[in-house]
Amino acid sequence: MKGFAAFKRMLWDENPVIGQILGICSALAVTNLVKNTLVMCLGLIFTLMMSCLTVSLMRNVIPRQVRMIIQVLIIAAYVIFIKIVLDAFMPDISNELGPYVGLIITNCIVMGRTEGYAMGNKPLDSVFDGIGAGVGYSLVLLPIAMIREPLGLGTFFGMQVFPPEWTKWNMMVIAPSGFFALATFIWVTRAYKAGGAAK
Amino acid sequence: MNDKIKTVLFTVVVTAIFVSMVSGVNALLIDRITANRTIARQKVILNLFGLTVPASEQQIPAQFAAGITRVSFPARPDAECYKLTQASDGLFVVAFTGQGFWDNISGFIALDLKNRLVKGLEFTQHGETPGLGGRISEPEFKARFNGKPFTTLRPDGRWLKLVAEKTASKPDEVDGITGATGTSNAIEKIVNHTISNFLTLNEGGTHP
Repeated sequence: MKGFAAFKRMLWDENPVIGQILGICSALAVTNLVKNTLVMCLGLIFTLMMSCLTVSLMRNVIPRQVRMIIQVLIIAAYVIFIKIVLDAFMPDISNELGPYVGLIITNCIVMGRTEGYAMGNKPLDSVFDGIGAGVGYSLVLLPIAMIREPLGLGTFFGMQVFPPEWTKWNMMVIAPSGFFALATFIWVTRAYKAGGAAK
Repeated sequence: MNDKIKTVLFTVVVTAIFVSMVSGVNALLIDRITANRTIARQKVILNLFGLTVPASEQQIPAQFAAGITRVSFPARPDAECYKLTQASDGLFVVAFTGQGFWDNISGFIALDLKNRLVKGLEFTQHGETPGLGGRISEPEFKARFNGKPFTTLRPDGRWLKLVAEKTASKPDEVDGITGATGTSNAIEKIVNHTISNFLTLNEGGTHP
């Protein structure tokens, strides 16, 4: 099936973060806590899945001139839905994530998939493509969060993993370390990809 | 021409559909969201009074209603202040909001008017830089205010002064946060303001 190939492609070859350098903003912002990162990733996967499905179902009736506006509208509707559900059922996490949930709307990955794939492909394939992009994003963000949270706060998923004497690397909690961690991640994965290609 | 009208109509209809879907979900859950916010605030106030906070979130409103009374000041109907229903003992919890380094900082401060001591500080909302000013939400920082007196004003006109971290030596000095001077200054201003405002309100008021 075409959708399965699209899903696999999004995980590695065309991974939205390390391959296309999209979604960097949120990758830097939320990766200082594993729990917040996980919620953010699930939110993005849901948004991608639903937006791609909806756009793909409507692809033959959306007038070309307004297609981008309609896509943003659809994405925004799903993101606001997530925000309301978080506020109602997980108020603590919603507080910690602050504006970042709302900013999924402007995450280039979502618009990139709806415009680049869902507008020209069947609904089921688009759903797989969307989930693939979301999972690809998570595969980069979660490891980064797993490095930043223990080093920066001495905790993992909110649980203390280092003894209280552990000197916290405040640097790891603030955005610049996100840049370092992400850049190192991209460097290593690209070097590995290049090595694979050379063989 | 016909196409243009169709495009506009399509956009309007699609917008209406999605907006009503989102509004519908919001209308369904708004009560729950408001309740969550109230519970979060009540939890903070209970903690500041040193009352036991029920483990189950559902019991918090009942516990709050049983133990705490809102104090109102005719001069400032918008001032939010609470005392214990029984044996208030001069302990008040006062809400505050002030400009932080980035965003507004809101929270509650517990003031013991009988002994003129700060009994606790808690923030409910702030947008300070994580790892720097954001450290104000760490329990260790908030504890720095516990037991601080506001009996006499300092020569510089403040009740309490935030000084460089680990240099507080007098009772009216509090350790600030290194690397977050802006936040420290903002907190100093907010705390001093809140104490002054409350003293003015209360000593002219009916709640000794």
